[in-house]
Amino acid sequence: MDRLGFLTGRAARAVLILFGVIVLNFVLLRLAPGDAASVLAGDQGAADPAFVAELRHDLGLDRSVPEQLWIYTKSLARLDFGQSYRDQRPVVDIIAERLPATLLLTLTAFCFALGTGIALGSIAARHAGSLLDTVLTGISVMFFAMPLFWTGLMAILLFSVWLNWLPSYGMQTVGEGGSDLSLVGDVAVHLILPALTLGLFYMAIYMRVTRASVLDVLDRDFVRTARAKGLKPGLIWRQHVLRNALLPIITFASLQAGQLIGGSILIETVFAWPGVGRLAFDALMQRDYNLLLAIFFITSTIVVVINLAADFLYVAADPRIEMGA
Amino acid sequence: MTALVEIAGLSIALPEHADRALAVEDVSLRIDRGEVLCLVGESGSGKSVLAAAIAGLLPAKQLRIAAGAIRFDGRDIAGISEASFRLLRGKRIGFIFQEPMSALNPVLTIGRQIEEALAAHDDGDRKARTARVLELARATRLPDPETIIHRYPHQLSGGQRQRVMIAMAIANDPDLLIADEPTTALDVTTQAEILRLILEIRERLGLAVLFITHDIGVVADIADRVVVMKEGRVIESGRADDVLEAPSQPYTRRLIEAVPVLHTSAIQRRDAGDPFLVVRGLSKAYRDRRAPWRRQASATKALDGVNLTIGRGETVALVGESGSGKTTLGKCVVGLADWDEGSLSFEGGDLAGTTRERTLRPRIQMVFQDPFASLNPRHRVRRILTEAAIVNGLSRERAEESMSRLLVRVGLDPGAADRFPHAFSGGQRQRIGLARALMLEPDLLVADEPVSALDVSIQAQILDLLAEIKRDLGLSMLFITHDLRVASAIADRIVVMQSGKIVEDGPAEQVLTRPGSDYARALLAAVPGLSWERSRSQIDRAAAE
Amino acid sequence: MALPRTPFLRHPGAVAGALILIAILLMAIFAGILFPGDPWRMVARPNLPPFSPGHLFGTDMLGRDLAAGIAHGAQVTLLIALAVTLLAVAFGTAIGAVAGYFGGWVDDVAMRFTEFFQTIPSFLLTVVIVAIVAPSLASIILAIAIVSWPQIARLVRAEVLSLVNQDFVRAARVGGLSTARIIWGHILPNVLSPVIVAASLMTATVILIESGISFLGLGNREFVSWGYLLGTGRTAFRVNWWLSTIPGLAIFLTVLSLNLVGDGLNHWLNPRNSNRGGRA
Repeated sequence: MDRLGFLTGRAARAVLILFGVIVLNFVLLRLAPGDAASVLAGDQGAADPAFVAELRHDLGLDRSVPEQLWIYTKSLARLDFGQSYRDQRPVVDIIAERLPATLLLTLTAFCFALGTGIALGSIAARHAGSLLDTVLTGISVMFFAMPLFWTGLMAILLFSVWLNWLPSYGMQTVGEGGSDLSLVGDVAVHLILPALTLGLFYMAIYMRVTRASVLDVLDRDFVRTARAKGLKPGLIWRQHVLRNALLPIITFASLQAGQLIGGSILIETVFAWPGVGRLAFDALMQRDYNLLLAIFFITSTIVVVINLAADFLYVAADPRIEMGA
Repeated sequence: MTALVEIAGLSIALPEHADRALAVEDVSLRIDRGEVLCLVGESGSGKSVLAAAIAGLLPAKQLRIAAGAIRFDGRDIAGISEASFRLLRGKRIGFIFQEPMSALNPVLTIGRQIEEALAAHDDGDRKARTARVLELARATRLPDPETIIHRYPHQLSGGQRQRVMIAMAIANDPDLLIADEPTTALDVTTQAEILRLILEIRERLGLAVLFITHDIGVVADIADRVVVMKEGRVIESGRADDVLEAPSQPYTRRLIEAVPVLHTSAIQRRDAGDPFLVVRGLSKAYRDRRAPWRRQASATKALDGVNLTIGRGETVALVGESGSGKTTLGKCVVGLADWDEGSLSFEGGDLAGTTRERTLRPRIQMVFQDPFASLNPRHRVRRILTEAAIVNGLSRERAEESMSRLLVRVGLDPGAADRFPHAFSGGQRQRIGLARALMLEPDLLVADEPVSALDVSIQAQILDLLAEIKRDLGLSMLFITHDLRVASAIADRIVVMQSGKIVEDGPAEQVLTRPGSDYARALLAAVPGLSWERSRSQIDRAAAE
Repeated sequence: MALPRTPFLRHPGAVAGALILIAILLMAIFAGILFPGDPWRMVARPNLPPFSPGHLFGTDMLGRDLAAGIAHGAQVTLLIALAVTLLAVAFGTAIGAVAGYFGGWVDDVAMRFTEFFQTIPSFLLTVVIVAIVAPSLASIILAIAIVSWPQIARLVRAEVLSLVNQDFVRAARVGGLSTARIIWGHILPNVLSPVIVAASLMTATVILIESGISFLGLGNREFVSWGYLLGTGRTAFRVNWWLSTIPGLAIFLTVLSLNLVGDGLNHWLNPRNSNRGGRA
């Protein structure tokens, strides 16, 4: 199969998924109690039917369903998610403010999880059956079984409340000015607990998958061939085992990206991290569905883009381009 | 000549719960410099384990050397460290495996993989190595060496991949080349080329070859000496000619006699009755399902205008290499695949592909290749045999009656009905598979490589059983095989396919002695053990007179 | 080559997991007998720490017994987990079996559909669905099931795909068996053991998702699960640390046991593939 054809197919699939998200959003928006017009009208204290009808017309709510879907799709394509019901500001602006914080948190957690997960997973596989393997696998099983937010709470209890080592709240110390460098340091200190909590859970997953994948590759004939050639163990490990074992991890990690970003809503709530996840929680509390669905759409888009990027990476890494279909 | 390898009293232990204690038991043998030694045995004989032990490639957790010595060039290597073994492997001992696809790393170019073999034992510069890689590619007759070394394993054919394996194995001019069933996964014509290449390399480099095989024909073609193994022990060893002509052990004799004779006059061929399966202009193209818009360009023709008739009571062997379309044709006949053009009629009635087949299909039944995959592991033999018969309208009592009768007929105990498939050996499972096909009282049996997964001694038994049953029940049979020897043992008529077309169709005698097409001639010439065959049939004739 | 099954009892982790699970199940079943009456009434002084006499896990700020809450909460948590698993396995198996058996465009459509639900952020989707459809036992079960079935569908499809080309399935077709009979009688029984393993691992994930939803305050007040307890305890957790620690511990132990049992089952039922059973 040629690479261009493969990537075109993948891109088409990404567009299809995005369209699916739009349809899903649209359906959920219609399912939401009361339509946008009555929410807005209610907010302005005007229950006058004529006013509501006018609003409905302005918002296109009196047209046929396909027409509404089309209008909705067009507005999403312009990144126009409408106004936040409560803040009376464009939803997209609110999200844009919060996005960097979330990206900082999730990217840090992701890099930590992937790095340590792969490292510990391959060490466990290399020593499969030994005490070290049992300990590492045990750690992975433990962290995988802990609810993220609970791990977070326990970490706060231990490191902030009892030991008083690390801050547990927000992204910066309130009212602390100072140089850029000290600001970076301050953010970094605030980042440790939430990023570790999020990262440890996903580290457990990557560890498990890496271990399984490495064990699988170790059984393959070409590893025996490499030994038969008299290659040094280090070379066999790098060129033959890891190179093949990490291929499925690319796909897996990119699929997990969606879960990781989704998981940030819990972590940001626990640690009051001023990101999109915390925003989603606030939207939830205030029943600001327009904002909530916009967050869902943007998060999904990010995930789809990450998956597409992973496909490109995969094509570069595997000459066979046979994805896990 | 001095011995390069000397093995004395070697025993290799299996893990605790295995069905026997030792994989290799008290084996002594030697390999001389420059000779081709064939290690022969059926599955489970311990031949591959022995070969792995010589190269220090035993899976450490499962198999370990329990006793004995392996002396390589005078030095005992049975207990040396992995690090010392590493210096021998690839340098003085080269190794080729059975499956060239899985034995190559899929994400590295083949040039890179050959170069690795050089770099592992040499600190020299990269340029010299690159030149040497090209030289090796030429020496192993890889086409277009400059380009092919930049390709990946999946872009090569099976034969080319095995050439790459050979190039890696001989990269450092080893003293010993161990080849573990290196041609078993290949087509016969490719097998013949690879065998020729190995002999040629032996000649040029003067290395010793330890060749592991189950195929007596291959032994006859290449071996200087033979060692026969059975259940972990050496049964017999000696000069190849001596062993093949006058085996001293009954096991060896049985092994040799089980190989079907190619030009045999022993079988009574029968003339075809009236044609009752008629295939007319059958064509079928496989399209890339993910790019269906590219119609003709990427579509490979699995069947390309096939015409074939089978007469009542006739056995037709359909012979071809992988990709010839022989299996696809069998699937169309039996109703497992649809076709694009052409027609298939059975006793005058048209068959319509995979759909609407209820009335005619039970009369065409099938025997499958893999005895381990062809029986549902979760069903008892009783259900395996009677289910289809009951679905097709037989009462349970009647179905059970014929089940008992057929189990006895295929040589099994009727008590087998209450057991699960895993309780049976490969040969026994194939008998169950045959009984299942016969349960529906078919007129035509399609047998797709029914003996190719079996050891040669079992193979002979199943072939005899098939011939017998076919004769007794007056069945017709379409027998699909890649092996001309097997075809000659059972067929009235032989049909040869190549790239979806029938290139030869005639009475078995004629196709085997005076083939009309180039391809059939090439296939015939590639059958291993031809020269041995001639001396063998002379002996047969002498014995008959 | 068929490897011998090592007895289930030879996997100490799995046995420990199974014992814990049985204990939790018993606690859920007999919650009404152990802690009769409404668990949400005031029974003692507020904010009693754990190991107070008569109140093993202490009390909350309204003087309610946490141990009673944990026992009754187990009912809700396990009920949701089992319901979701049943729904997801049934739907996932159906989609996967149809996709794998028929192949072609049916497979394409089914797989695009599956991929969609696998790609979008699943936790966020459940949160959005529950929030919009209004939190109830049914909406929570449905929302979690919607994001859980894809992995079963993919697993079943992959298994079916490899089984369809096995000779014993071909033999059934040649014997004239109907498609339904082949799928039901020949293919699905051979898919059973990997599905059982995946289902036990999935139940664990479901409990995690449910606790997350409840933690965010989306649970139903009528049905108080462990996650809900944890969420309500959180507001005061710097002082009354046990109110969120103990429900979390209950979740952790249950999820851990389910994972251990799932891994044990995997080694036991599929000795050959046990190395590959990644959680996809």
